Amino acid sequence: MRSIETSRGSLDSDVFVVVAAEGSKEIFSSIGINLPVEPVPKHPIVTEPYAKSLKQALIIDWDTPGSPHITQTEHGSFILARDIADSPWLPLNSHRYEVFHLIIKPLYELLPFLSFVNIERYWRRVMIRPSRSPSSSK
Amino acid sequence: MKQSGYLWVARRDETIETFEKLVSFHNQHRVQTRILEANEVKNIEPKLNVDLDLISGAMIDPTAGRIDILEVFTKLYIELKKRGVKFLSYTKAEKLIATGEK
Repeated sequence: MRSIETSRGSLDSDVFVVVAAEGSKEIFSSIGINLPVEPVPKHPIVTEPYAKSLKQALIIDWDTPGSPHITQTEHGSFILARDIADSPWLPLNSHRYEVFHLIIKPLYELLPFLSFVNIERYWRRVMIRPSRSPSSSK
Repeated sequence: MKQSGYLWVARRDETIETFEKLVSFHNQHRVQTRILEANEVKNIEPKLNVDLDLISGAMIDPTAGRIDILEVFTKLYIELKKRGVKFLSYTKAEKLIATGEK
């Protein structure tokens, strides 16, 4: 490889390292390489800040499919999430509000005080995984 | 980075057998995970519901933790700038041009 075209012109180098998440696939396709990765949507839920309540950095519910997990940030908010089977390459505005009860219910069972905590926001984020790999969902 | 631990909670008795195998593997590789009985879990994570009808025990890795992504990214950015790396903001990489071997 010798150069890359950018929106501000070309850059030359002996070595390029591509770290563009799902955009890496598009960049590699420009030289005929099919990078075997796909973006997989994740669905974190964030609560309002709450008194420091968890000692562990992360608590994981091993036996519930998709391993619901929870952490508390330095600012007191909880982040709740669960691996839920989803389709790669969905548009960013493809929210799935039905994931709420799937994520929240098992964690409420383990941590009943969460029923006093208000949810502040939810969003989709994307993680990259190798194509054709088994889903992380159990 | 704060190493305040990861706690994997088991709801089924069979899972404890899985945890025992994992702990054995971890310990062979110097990762000091261990199994906790349900009543021990309360000491580790006081707000966890340790009702025996709900959980069978847990596995803990006290060395696991988390990092502040913004702090790591900022320090990396500053350090790389010091070493002469040039950052091009608002510049989209559009196309690689290969010559010879890819």
